[in-house]
Amino acid sequence: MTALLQRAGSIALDLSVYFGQLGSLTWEVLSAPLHHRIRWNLVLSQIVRIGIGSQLVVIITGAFTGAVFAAQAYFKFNSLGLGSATGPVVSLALCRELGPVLAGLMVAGRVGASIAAEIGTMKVTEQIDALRSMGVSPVDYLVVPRTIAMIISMPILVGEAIAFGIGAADLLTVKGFGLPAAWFRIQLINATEAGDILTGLIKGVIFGILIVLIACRQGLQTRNGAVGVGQATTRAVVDSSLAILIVNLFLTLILNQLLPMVSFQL
Amino acid sequence: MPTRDSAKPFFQLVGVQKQLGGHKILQGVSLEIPTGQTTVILGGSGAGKSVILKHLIGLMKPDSGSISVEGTEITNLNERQLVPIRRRIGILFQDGALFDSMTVFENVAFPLREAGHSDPLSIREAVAAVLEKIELPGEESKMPSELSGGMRKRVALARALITRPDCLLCDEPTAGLDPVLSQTISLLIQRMSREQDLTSVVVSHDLEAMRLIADHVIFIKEGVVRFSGSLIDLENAEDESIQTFLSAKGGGG
Repeated sequence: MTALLQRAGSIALDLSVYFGQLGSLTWEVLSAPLHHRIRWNLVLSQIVRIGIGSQLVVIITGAFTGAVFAAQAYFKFNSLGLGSATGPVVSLALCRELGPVLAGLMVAGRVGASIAAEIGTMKVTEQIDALRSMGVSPVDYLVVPRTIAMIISMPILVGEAIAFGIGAADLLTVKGFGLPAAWFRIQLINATEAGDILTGLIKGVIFGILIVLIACRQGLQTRNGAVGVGQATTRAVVDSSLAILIVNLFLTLILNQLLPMVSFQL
Repeated sequence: MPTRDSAKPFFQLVGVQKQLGGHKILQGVSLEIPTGQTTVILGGSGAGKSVILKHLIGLMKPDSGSISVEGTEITNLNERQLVPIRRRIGILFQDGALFDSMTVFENVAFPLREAGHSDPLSIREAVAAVLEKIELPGEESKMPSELSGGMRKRVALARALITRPDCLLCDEPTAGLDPVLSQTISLLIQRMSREQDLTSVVVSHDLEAMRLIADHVIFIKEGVVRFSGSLIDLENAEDESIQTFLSAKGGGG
């Protein structure tokens, strides 16, 4: 019993330290522009790495998810004589959930891992200390540019995932299953509101911020050489993926109040 | 540059204690680093030498005790308040800590740019001049991964000295180098210290290399200062742990 309590206590302590560090990093990022100039050259190079580098994986994810989802929706709806509902359902699912969540998970895997590994290696090889010793804040130099780059890149990536998802769904249902093109597209356009797309883009930005802060925290806290870098990388991906899935529920509930789903008629 | 009073210590530590990962690394370290001299902090592995070095520049905070730089208390300064002090101190990290993603030129120019220099021509000239001094002229475009261990340390020394600081801190500058390279890098530190009139602090366990450059020696064991004085006095010290260290090093080189 005592051991159990001790274990619970130590988990609670670890969690509070974790969230404390994450909160203090968030605060430092928010207050950094007050004290330092923003390093736009670094922001630009991070946009290339985070945004442009992630495009292919996000597009492929979006396209295949859109196509698969369209196929499943079409099989079910068509048997009920509701084939034309495929477009609206695919569009709403991609805009509000699948686009941002899947793009977020792919970016967490690709970019979160690379951020944690890079900053973690800099930590264990004393490059972070070298920055500090020269009067350069690691948050200002490493975290702020990555955060801004992520805020700029994520909505574009989510938009691409949604667009390619809908494109692939269109291709499959119209060309593959023979649903009349006008039927599919008009229903889809009628049912998709600006609020649906905005929901996806807002979620994307928030997921991006979660990924970058979790991965940077993990990198900056790295210890124990190469083993520590490996652990930091794994935890960055796992933690940011879980954070995306958990935060997504609350975002869905909040955003549905702010940008409610409009009912549509077939 | 502020006027320097050589009678006043550059760094002063009083009763500094530090615990890391449950281990007491520093157990009440009190020491003074004289201005304008080369002080060598000697001690075996794990004695807490590098931890002391990191405390001198505020990279680590003590659990208790105080640290001052030329009379200014730095113990409770935050990162932003430490910047003016850090800009006066160059540090050579154990493995160089060169930025992997930058060329030699960008690494060496980095502190200058961060200190506000923006004229590309004068930066280029300053980098070329300092690389000439550390005997690596024309290596500007190489990446750190293309350099040998000794070259990395020399480039790191150039980066530490390009802003012409008042003080140079070196963490195990000869670790991982053969005896000839150890001697070369030690003499380079000594020459640069004299040329730039630096207060230097060198942390090392390599007595042979340090013999060449030490004006003042501090011996640390198990997080406590066991000796502070000249090299000759160290060799004549009666402390058993010092004699054990000296004889082991004398045999092993």
